[in-house]
Amino acid sequence: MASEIVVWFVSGAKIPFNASADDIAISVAPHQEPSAAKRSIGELAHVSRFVPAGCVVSGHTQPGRPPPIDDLISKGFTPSGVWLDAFGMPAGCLASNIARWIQATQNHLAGMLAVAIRGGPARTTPREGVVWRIDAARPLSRDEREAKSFIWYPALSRDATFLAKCADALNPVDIFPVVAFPDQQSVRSDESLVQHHELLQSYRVRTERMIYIPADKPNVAFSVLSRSLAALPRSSSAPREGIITPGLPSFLYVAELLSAVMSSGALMVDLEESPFEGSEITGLVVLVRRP
Amino acid sequence: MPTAIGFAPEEREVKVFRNDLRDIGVDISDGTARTLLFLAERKFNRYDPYAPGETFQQRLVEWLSNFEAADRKTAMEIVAELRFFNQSEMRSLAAATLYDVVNVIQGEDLAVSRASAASFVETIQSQTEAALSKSLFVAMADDVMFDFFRRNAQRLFPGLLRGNFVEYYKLSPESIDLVEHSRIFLLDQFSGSSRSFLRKEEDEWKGKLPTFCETWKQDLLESGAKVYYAPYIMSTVAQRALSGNLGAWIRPEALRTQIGVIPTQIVPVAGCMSSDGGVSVDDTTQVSLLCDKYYVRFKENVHTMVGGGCKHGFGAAGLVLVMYTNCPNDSLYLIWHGYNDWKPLFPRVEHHRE
Repeated sequence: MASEIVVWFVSGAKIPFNASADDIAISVAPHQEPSAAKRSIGELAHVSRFVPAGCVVSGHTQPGRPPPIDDLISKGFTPSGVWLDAFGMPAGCLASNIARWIQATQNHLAGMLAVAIRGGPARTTPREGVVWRIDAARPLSRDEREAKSFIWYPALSRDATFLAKCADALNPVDIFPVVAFPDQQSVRSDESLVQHHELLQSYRVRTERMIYIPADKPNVAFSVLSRSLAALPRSSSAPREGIITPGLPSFLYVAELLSAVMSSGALMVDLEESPFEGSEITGLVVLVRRP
Repeated sequence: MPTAIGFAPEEREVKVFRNDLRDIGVDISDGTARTLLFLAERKFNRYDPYAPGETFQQRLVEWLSNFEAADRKTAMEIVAELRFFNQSEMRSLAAATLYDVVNVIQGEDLAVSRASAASFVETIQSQTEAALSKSLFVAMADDVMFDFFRRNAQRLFPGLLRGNFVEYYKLSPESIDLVEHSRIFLLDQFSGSSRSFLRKEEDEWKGKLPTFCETWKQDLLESGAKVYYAPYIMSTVAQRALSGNLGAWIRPEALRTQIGVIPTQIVPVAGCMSSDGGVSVDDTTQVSLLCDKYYVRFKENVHTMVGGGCKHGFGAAGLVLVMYTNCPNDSLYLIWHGYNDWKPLFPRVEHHRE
């Protein structure tokens, strides 16, 4: 019997459902200190069992480190729910760990992964964008790059220089800029268009390609981007691959990241980028597996 | 001055544009010219009432020529604050409004299971869909992209039927095959001053809301439905005015609870018209003084006087806002009127004829 995954976004730090008795909270080494992760999830939800895990990214797994999330599940350890605080995790690692949980539970009829999202800095300060293959938990190889045609979804809340460098490196066949809209109090969407004027003009991005998503509604962002990614043609001799470069605020960022995870897309981010460093929990992303 | 030879297309366009402006004594930087041309191409030139081939650039030069030379620099402050909503943005607002409706429903007392994440998601989804299917969406204007709103809503929530949607609030509910409903959402494109929706005139409450309550009186009495006002765009002036008016309004018996207001996009008073961060109009700013000076060229009518005139925008909304379909009269009259040979930047098509 097949199962499906439903993604739900909960705003704020108040959890609207109870944790099950056999839920576990995990920390992900080397990005998180077990004691801090245990304390943070303990404050958020009443989860009594805590299990240290290791990051699924091969370079981050070293002898002596705890097993990654998929090993925990495949070794017969089947908690009904897994709780994770995204604090300190690089974006690519978070995406790949979530993807690995999805893979590990694909034969299960039930299960839950809850990821707490913290506010981040006002802007990320990335240096160089790298295409991150989420399912393989590694950068895209040269051969893979040459075999695909990229459709790029850059968040225009990003720095113009960073996006310009990403565009040059990626050489996308099409660009669907993601514009935060309705406007927030201090940010106007027109300003983000003007800021990326050179990129939009030089890549001949049509105005109709703009994707408007509300910054305060991550569920809408996830739904819109997932629908767009799912519509990309994949059966031609040059299958299109959706590449997401998410933008702040962090709850929106994770919605964009998750749309890439769920549609087998990829990210283009700075590998050191970790936008979940704030002290306040802004929300929770819940992935529920159900028949 | 020959400028059109020897440059790349964009460079040439910038040169020509700057030169046209310089001819009327307005000197703008290369960067400002590029920004304006970029926004013109992406947004302003898609203004529906423009004639085929007409562009913002040529309109701007003509519009600036309305002003005395010494006032043109101040007039450019208005241009710098233009807020243009194109078709994609309006669709996006319509889609976001549906989610605001969903948030309203989910914020109320749904019978949601909290035993586990799975049961929570299962029950909140089913309860939301059930509540939505008992909701009416009523268009309060003819430009709320109602077809788009309905199709988008039906795609996301297949349980919604034709009877959940009413094309116009003045339609008698008895003439429509409505679904059973407990909530009514009044969809409006724009509320710049809120006076079209609710205002007091000579001790009598007028506007769309009293008209709706009268037309839907029997339905409201029978259904006991809660009513929400959901404008896609609402100014801060309108928000404040409506809050005060709703407090003073003596609700008709048919309306059992006070109506809720859920704007999707809030727009403040334009910065060039305000000195308190967009909360209210300051009639001493340079642009306000410009509105005073050229007011003799404008012509009020019985409809604009309902909002106290348009000197600072209908209802003193102080906006510099344009929608791709039309320019609301809540925006500064300087940009939209065409009286006394005034050449408007965004000519307005009046809803009400004298």
